[in-house]
Amino acid sequence: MGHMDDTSRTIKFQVKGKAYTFAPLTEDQQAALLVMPRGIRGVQKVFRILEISLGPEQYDALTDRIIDRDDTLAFGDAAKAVERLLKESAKTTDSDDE
Amino acid sequence: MTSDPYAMISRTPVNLAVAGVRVEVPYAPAGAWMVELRQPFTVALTMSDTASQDRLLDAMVERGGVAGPLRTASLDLLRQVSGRPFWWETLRLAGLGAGDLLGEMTLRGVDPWSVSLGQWCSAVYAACTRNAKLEDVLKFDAQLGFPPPGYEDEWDDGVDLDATEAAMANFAGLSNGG
Repeated sequence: MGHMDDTSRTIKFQVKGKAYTFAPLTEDQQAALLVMPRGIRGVQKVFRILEISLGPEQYDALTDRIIDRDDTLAFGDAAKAVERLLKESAKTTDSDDE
Repeated sequence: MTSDPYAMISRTPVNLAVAGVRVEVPYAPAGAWMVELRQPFTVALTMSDTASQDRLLDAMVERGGVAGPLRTASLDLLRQVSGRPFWWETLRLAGLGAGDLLGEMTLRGVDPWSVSLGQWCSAVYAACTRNAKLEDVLKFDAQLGFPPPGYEDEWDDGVDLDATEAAMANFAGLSNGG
């Protein structure tokens, strides 16, 4: 349920050895990440943003890796992925403005 | 626009609508505001109650179109809670009080965690203008009230330029004869 104007634009990078394709974060999602409350409320919303960006299939695969821990993908790795996604999305937004 | 003396001392919540989202901002002391003023464009979210924060963040994540109105609402909120005529006055006075004047304010016994933002700004203003010459007070007022770059259009000092021009035109000798 992403709300991108241009759905063809994507961001690709690996999270602990596996490649994922993300939809860039919207301006509102980027702004929301900068003011997320601490604790579980913030975590839930951050993972919802990740779900929207990844789409349901990739999101399930990623979270299964966290739950199973079969390839040592930790919660912190997902958080780092969101951080990188934010940076990459900001670049996309900036280049749109030019 | 003029100051709102009741807002300066008010302890009642402020209710807003941001992009159709209902937001309630409970009373918080000046200290809490000053911490959040590092990001003034989002205070309508960061200073709102938990339920309002959740509604706003959900709207930002799921549907968008909130970031712009949030920015506008945040700046207007700064004006409302402090009772100052312009939001930039609030930012400037709060900033002065958190910086160079903090020691002076502390020595005078004004604790930002025990007064409203409006009271804090008024105390800072008093510290800046007390014992100053009239011309220095006027200069300080002018610097305080002048809008930051990019916000000149928000500056409304209550003078109706069209009405003034029409009134002047009626004075004998000032008419251009048209």
